[in-house]
Amino acid sequence: MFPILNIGPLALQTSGLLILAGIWLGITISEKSLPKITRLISASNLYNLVFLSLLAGLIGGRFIFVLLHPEAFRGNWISAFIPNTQMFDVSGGLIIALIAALVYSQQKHLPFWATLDSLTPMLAVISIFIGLANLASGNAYGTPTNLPWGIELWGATRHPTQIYHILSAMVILWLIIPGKTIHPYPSGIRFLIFLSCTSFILLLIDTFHGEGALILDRFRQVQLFALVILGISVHQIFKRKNAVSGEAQNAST
Amino acid sequence: MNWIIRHFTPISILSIIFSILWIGLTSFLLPLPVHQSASAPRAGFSAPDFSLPDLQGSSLQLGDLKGKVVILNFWASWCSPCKAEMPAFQSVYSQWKEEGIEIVAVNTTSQDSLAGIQSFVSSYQLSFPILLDSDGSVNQLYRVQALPTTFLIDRQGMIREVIIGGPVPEASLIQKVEMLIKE
Repeated sequence: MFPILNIGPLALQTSGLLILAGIWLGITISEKSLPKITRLISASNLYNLVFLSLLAGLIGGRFIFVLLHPEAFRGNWISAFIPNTQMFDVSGGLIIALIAALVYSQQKHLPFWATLDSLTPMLAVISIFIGLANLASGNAYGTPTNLPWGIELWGATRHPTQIYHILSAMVILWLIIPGKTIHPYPSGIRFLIFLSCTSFILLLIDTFHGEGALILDRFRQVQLFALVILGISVHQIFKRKNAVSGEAQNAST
Repeated sequence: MNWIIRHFTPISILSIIFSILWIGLTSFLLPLPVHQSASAPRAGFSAPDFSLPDLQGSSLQLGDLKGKVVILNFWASWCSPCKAEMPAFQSVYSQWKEEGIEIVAVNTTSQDSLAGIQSFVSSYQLSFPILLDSDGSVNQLYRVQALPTTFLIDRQGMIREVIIGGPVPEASLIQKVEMLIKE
């Protein structure tokens, strides 16, 4: 565990730095992979889409926080503009970031599925860095175990769930990263395979997480959510494959 | 990826059946996530207990504050973000003390001077307990790696949030305190 990086008087949170590094490396890999994934999106569109969404997410997360907790700012509205990570609504920020991405894609007429495909290598890299960030901060820790590969964390020998996450995310990256040749996949398949693999892995790893909410006092919320996402992504893969094979049949007749 | 696409139908059917079975079996056979009874300096765990002397020489034990919402702040008089956030802590303490809020400010005395601490406390007119961690043992117990570090502890003595660094804005502090008080 290495939660803080002290540089002189500055104490930087390693997890935040790792996420930033993941975004930077991810977008670089997405850009390099772009010619092998789709020719419908330019590198500049890809960069603009990511940075606009990030910016909108950051501002939106703060805006939603202020809307949800107006009493905290009564008589002190200036503090709504203080740069600080504490006053941030994560789900609100994500929704605003998604809306900004959709609006930008619509304005630039970016094809929906091809855009998601082009972002997939970046998402896969970020997933690895989320695991590294959790390992550095000690978050997403595992349940106690007697297994020989258990790690000492928070006063017990625990499942190294962060390492499970990193290794499986690396395998997923290897699966979805484009090879030397361009394969005629229907657009969206790369993203949907990433989504289904990630949901499946999350569903397995969450079994060993030491924290998390329950549904009906029995079922892990994350596992059920991952199962729903897995079902939706598998259904979409069949739909995309059938749509493309139908188009091919029509073209040949 | 080619292999997955070629064999997608059996892979997808097997993975969904396996997932349902896995959730069903592990939910009943393996331990579920519960609030940790063990103490550790992180959210979701019981706050490690300690006892330290205050500026007047009398001792304060953290465990004695169970039943109150506790803001445990680690600080030093030379630390700029600590200076910036102390007025917010004092303001919250004045407003919420009657509602059951306690602020415990642990000074990292092993890296500070008594004169500096006293001048700091009087210049910010701090009325909450200032504890002196002369040998750094409580800083070690809470694995404090950066100043300031703040722990929000609920009425049951569980750590609910750890804020590394600062300054913590007053608005953010009020929002967190209100949430814990209302529980």
